[in-house]
This record gives sequence, structure tokens and C-alpha cells, in this order.
Amino acid sequence: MIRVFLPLLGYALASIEYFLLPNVRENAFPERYFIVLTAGIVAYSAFALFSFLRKDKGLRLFNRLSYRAPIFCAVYVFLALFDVLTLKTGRLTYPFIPWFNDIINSAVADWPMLLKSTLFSLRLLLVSYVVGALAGVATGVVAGYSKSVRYWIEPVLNVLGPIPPATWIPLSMILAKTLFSGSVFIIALGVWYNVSLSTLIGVMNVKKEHLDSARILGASELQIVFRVVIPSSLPSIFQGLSSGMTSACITLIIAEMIGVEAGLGWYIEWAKAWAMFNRMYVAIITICVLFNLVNFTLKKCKKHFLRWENGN
Amino acid sequence: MATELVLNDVSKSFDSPHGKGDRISAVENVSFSCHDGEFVSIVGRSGCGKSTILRMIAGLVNPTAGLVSVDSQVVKGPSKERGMVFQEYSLFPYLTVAQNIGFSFKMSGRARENKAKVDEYVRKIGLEKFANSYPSALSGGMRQRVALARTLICNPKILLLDEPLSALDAITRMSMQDEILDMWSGSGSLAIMVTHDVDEAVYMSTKVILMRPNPGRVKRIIPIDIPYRRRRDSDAFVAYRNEILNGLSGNGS
Ligand SMILES: Nc1ncnc2c1ncn2[C@@H]1O[C@H](COP(=O)(O)OP(=O)(O)OP(=O)(O)O)[C@@H](O)[C@H]1O
Ligand SMILES: [Mg+2]
Repeated sequence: MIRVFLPLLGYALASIEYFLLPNVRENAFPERYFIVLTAGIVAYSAFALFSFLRKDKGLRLFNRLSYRAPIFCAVYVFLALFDVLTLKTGRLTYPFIPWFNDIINSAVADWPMLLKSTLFSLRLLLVSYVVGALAGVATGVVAGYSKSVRYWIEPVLNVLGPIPPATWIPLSMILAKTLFSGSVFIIALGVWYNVSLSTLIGVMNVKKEHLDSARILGASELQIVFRVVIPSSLPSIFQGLSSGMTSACITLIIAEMIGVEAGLGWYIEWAKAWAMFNRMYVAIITICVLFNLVNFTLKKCKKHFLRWENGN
Repeated sequence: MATELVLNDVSKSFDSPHGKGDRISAVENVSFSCHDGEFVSIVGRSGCGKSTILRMIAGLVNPTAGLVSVDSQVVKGPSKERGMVFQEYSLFPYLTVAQNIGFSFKMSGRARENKAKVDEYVRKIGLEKFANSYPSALSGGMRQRVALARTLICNPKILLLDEPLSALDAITRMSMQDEILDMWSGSGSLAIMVTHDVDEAVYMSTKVILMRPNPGRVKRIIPIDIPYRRRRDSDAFVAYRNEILNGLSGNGS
């Protein structure tokens, strides 16, 4: 139980280090870093207290929190060490590796552009992902059903399989009407490949007993597709959706870096070209957060739609 | 309300999985008839076409030659009048117990008006507590009860059972045999069950059809003339069991 307090210790260490040791460089708006540190520990404490007070259901959350407490503490220790190596001693050379408050300052200075880039990336990712996933499920179901469609689609999937979707980006820049639609096509292609394949496998493995039972119980062909084949294939489809998401994230960043003049990938390249390294870090951190959030959401969806898999 | 099922010289062959236009003969020249109030068991070695016969009666596959007819109507496709329960995996794992039982109503768009009926069947099989659970949370016996309820809720004229109890442990199996008999005698319908268990066949059936393999043909039809509830250790029971066992192991046609 005592370990739940560890992050407080880390917080104290990071704060004391930050305020007591002398800086080797000019540090503007020093309070911002401290606000971020404090916001983190306040959120953590609020969570811990809330789950502790809510007994029955909260207790599981509380135990999980205290189980992870050393990791949260380690984050603070890491931040303190990083601060020592950058702002306090200059061991890591500025401007290639800025200190944390400097990164925060550049985020605050450029937030409208950053928000615009984030929203652009998110939009490009989601549009491509949905297009690719829907096309993939449709392809997989049709190919799983029809032997002749399967005959033609299988070699396409086999040949495309080993080729990273990013290979086609330069080509799409030349051929597509707009950069956005070209990127959507390429990102969706990778998602489509993963989802088609996994859906096809799922559809081919639908149990004969399920199809037979449904037919006897009066399901029409269309009802069999939507009420039997697709739901039965969901575990397999979700595997494709996960690997499709990985592919989409990779392709998105590459597309933005080499062609599309917007989004977080472009922001990184742009900041690098102007030697504004601190802004580069801001974009990298934003990408980390964004992609983790997207994958977290996907995981939650998977858990919800596959809740029937292991008891209840 | 009387039901008569007739198989008239029915044969079924499949394309060989090895290709080259070869055909595998699953069943050949099978003829028998039965009617409501009967409980018919089909026994025979693995691969002698028992499941194929049930699937033809269900209308899931068509015979290559011969006719299957119910009340003089040739069977051409599946129908709720001929319900079927499989050995395993027949429940939809992504639907709850209640949703599985109500599946046929959902398909015909009459789920709402039949909600009470679904509840009644959930109660009948004693799974009120599990109405909203998924099959993965149920034991094998519970799952088969749900599969039975899902089929019986359609009031089928013919109940087809393809090794319905094979995946269960011995104790559950015996109590399920009684449960199935109760449901069957309550409805007075025709039940046709495939089983590998000779004891089960003698315990449950009014008539046992013995099959022999390569290709699958009917070898003998043995009426079981013992009143229900049967005792598994009675002389008559043992005599029937030996007769069937001899029939199965003998090589003569
Ligand atoms: N869809 C099919 N395609 C090709 N061959 C099939 C098909 N269905 C059944 N067969 C073949 O027909 C024969 C009879 O099969 P069937 O499943 O009816 O036997 P069974 O008596 O039910 O066997 P078991 O006791 O193992 O269930 C087997 O040789 C089987 O390989
Ligand atoms: Mg069989």
C-alpha cells in the first residue's frame, strides 16, 4: 500500500532539483514546467483518492494504480535526470537536445500551428483508416464467399503483402488530383490489405454448424452475412484492424514527411529545416500521445465488441 | 397434425477432395420411413453417412438420387419445421442465451412480440440466471440445453439431433437423455438422433437404425419395445444392447 505514495516522492525530487540547482542557460517562464509536473501529480492523487473512497468497484482501480506507482515515480526521476543533463549541466548539447521547460515554451508559443497540424493528421488518419477498413471487410467477405473472387484477389494480396505501402507515396503524389486524396489512398491501401486478409481468414473459418443452424432457423442469405458471418469473424477482423492501424500510422507520418505539406510529420520536417529543434520535440511528443490515444480507443472497441469471447 | 417422413432410395455422393472428378459415395439406397411419436436413433461406424442423412432430411444438402419427403412434400431446402441440434459449436458465441433462443424470431422480424415466449423457454431449461450470459460462460450441458430450446421454440415437426450429447461427461449426459426424452414426449413430434453410444440408443429410442459403412447403407432396423423410463440393467435392455453391438461388429450384410 505504501508504494502508492512513491510518485509523490518522485514529484518532490523533480521539483527540488528543478528549483534548487543553478541553471547553465537562460530559462524563460520557469513556472510552466513546474505546472506540468504538478498537474501530473494532482491528477494521479485525485485518481488514487477517488478510487480509494469508492471501495468496491474503485478498489480494483486503486490496486492497479498502486501496482503501477513505481512507473509513475520513474517518470519523475527520468525528468529530473534529464533536467540535470540539459538545463543544469549542459551535458547534452543545446539546441539539439533542449530541456523540458524549453520544449513546453515552444509548444505554448506555437500552439495554433500545432493544433492545426494535429487535427490535420488525425483527420487524414481517421478518414483513410475508415475507408481502408470498410473496403477490407467488404473484400474479405466477398472473397470468402465466392471462389472465383478469391481466385483473383489472392494473388493481389500475396504480391502486395511484402511491399510497404509507403513505396507508392511518390507515385501517388504524381497521379492523384490532390495530395490529401493521394495520401488517403496510400494509407487506406495498407489498412485494406491487413483487414481483407484477416476478414478472409475469419470468413473461411466460420463454423459450418453456425451457417447450417442459421439457415434452419430461417435466416436469409443477407441475414447470414450480417448476423452470422461478420460477427463470427470479428475476432479475426480485429486482428487485421490492429495491424492495419500500425500500418496506417507508419504510412501517415512518412506521407506527411515526404509530400503532404501539413500534419505532424510535416511539422517535424519543417522544424528541423529551420533548426527549431525544440519544436521538433513538441511534435514528436504530440505524435506519441496521439497514436497512443488512437490505439487505446481501438483496444477499447475491441474489448467491447469481443466481450462475448471469455465468459461474462 | 400427423407427420410422416419417408426416405425413398436416397443416395448421396460428394466430389472427392482429391479432385480428378472422383466421387465419394456417402450413402447409397437408403430407404426408411417414420412418423410422429417415434424416437429414432441412427447408429453406425464413423463415416457411414449418418450426418449426411440428417443433413438431407434437414434440407441442408440435396440427395444425388432418390427423394426425402415429409407428408408427401419433397424436401427441397431447410425449414423451421425440421429443427436440428449439432454436437458442438451450434450456438452463436456472440449472442446471449436469450438472443440465441430468440434467433429465429429475430430473423423473421418478430422478436418483440415473442419476448415472453423466449423468457418462457429460458425458464424451461432452468437458465434464468444466465439469460444475458454468453455461451462461453456456460457448461457443455447448458449449451446443449440452449441449442435445444432454440430449436424447440419453433415447434418443429421433426427434431434432428446429430450426436447432441457426445461432448458431455457421463453424468450430465444421462440427465440430458432424460431431459430430451421429456421434451420429445411432451411435444409428441418425431425425433431422429445420431449417436455412437449404443446404451444411449437403447435407452432413448423407439427404433434403432443400424448402418454399415463403405458405402453407407441401412443394415437393420430394430424396434425397441420397452416402456419408458427404461432401466439400463434390465434383461430386455441388455438383450437389445447386445443385439445392436453384434449387428455393428458383424461383417455380414
Ligand atoms: N461436404 C462433403 N464433402 C465431401 N465429402 C463429404 C462431405 N460430407 C461428408 N462427406 C463424406 O461422406 C462420408 C460420410 O460422412 P458423414 O459425415 O455423413 O459420416 P458420419 O456417419 O456422420 O460420421 P461420424 O460418425 O464421424 O460423424 C464420409 O466419407 C465423408 O468424408
Ligand atoms: Mg457425423
